[in-house]
Amino acid sequence: MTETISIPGIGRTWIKPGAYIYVLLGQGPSVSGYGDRQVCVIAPMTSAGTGTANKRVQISTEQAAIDLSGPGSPLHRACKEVLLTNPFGTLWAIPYAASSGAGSASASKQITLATAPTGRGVAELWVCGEQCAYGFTSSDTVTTIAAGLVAQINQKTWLPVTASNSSGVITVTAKIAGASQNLAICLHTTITPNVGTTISAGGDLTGGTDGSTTEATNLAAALAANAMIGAYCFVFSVSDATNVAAIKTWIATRSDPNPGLRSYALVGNRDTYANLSAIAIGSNTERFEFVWQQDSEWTPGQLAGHMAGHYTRKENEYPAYNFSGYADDRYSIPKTFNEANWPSASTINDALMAGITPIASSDGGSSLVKRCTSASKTAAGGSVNDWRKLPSHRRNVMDAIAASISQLWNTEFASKTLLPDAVLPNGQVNSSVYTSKRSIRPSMFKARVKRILRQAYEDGWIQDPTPAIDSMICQVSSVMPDRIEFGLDLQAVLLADQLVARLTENSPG
Amino acid sequence: MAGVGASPQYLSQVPIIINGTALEEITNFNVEVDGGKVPIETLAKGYTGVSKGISKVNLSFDCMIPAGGPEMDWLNLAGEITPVTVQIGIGTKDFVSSGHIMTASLAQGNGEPPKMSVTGMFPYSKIE
Repeated sequence: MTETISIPGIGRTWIKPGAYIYVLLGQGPSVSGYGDRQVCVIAPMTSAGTGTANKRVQISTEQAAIDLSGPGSPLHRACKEVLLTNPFGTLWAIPYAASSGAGSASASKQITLATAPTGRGVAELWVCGEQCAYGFTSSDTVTTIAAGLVAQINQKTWLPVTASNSSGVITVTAKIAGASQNLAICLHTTITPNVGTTISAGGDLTGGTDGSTTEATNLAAALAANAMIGAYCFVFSVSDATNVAAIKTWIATRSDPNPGLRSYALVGNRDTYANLSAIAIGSNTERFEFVWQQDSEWTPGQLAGHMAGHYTRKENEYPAYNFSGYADDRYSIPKTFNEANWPSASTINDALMAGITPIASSDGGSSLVKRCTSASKTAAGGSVNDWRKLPSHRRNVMDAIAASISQLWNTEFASKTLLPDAVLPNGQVNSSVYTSKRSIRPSMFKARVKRILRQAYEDGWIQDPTPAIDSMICQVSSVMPDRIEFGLDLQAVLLADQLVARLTENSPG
Repeated sequence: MAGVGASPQYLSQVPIIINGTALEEITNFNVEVDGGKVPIETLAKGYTGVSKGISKVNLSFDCMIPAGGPEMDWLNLAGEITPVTVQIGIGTKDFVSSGHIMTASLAQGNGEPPKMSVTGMFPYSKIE
């Protein structure tokens, strides 16, 4: 005999007491056409960090992140953003070692100053959106100008690079080795014109390679060592296909009903839409989000950390928060420096359809266009659109309701004895029947969940709760007598994202 | 068809559950739904309807005190701001809400056992 309500991982041979909740998203008709949310940053540390690799630590100050992982490390920079945008939230960090061993190399870029200056001027070298400037005169040489810029860069220990100078040739080098830093760190240069000295153009650091111990190996070890930790939003500094696949599997496993640690992964990316879309479509899951700003001034981990703080701060108040057009007072992602890389409306739309959260740039700055998960197709890597799981708020709302139900069970129903419902001759459940204070009945649990749903509706989390209440199944399992089977269909609230209007001037003539 | 003298089944008891615990020491209770509606009366049309008010449910009951102490910490629940959930089974439906214990009093008369009287106030929630 099969159960009416069966969920993966909780079969007839699983008898450990607990609340096991399976959240199914995207189950509505295709029209093709929401405790305290915590953040955990999992990113590389530099050799200056004193933390233990793969060991989770709570972070409450930027200095703690610096001490743990080294100044300017991807973990430090991501944690810094989370603390800035959600200063009262709970932040965890798990450092892991960067790539090492034979063959490892750090990404770098050379900036060349040429020709001695003939007058006064200012040379600027922007690193990840931070200005490093040196004022020079005709007494300076390219070597002294370069030395001045190098001193500025190295003074800013929170940058992800170090710099050196050789006769006016500045070499900017990533603080950690490995391919993950390629295209992750960008430089821009300017110099006062017509004073003799020129400075070569900026660009992304390149040439980083993984050694015999790859970053992917170290990340996998960090994930394996922390499979059961509690947090809702996990921030990573990598977004290549290999690491995305590993993270996706890790998130999916922990979000299963057993162990029920529902969460999602958040990564940043500054690559082209074409390259990122292939990765996003390949992941295709409601528990992965890509924040994308092509040629961003910021590093990928910084982008993800910044939005993780915003997301959790707003979600703690309202899991269905609409992030479309988001740019509140703590939002500070700068616009992309190169206007040529500002995505067009068409590219932004393509990105959304591919499950990417785009950040648009304009003269006034940047803003997040619309938040979405990477679940955009019927199958990973497929081409048929399925946007039922695309809006992030649907996952947030469902997870929030699942958490409410789980909390209800754990606080008031778990550890009691179970009596089946008394049924009247007409088949309806009789609520008015004696129940010992040590016992519960399925109808008691069902009544409490109805209240949760009504409250969720009043708080603006879900649509009309009546169909959801009518859909509820709550009964003692016919297969496992110590188990209550519970089923519920509901719809998260809609978002007011678009208006289409046709205005017709119909004066006769 | 029911014959003459046949009696349909009637409610025999109403379970009252506070914070997931079915109360067993209650000796009597009263549940009142106060819709809070404000009548609208005009000179020309007289009583014409109502406007929506603040609807709430008032619960009051008396309970005995076992040797080990009250079934729940009524006095402190009345004194503190701690909210409580209530579930009252009425036939095939339930009233479920989250509110507060407003008052709790302990009294004893000569030759009588001590008794506690408790009142609670809860926002109205659809009984279903």
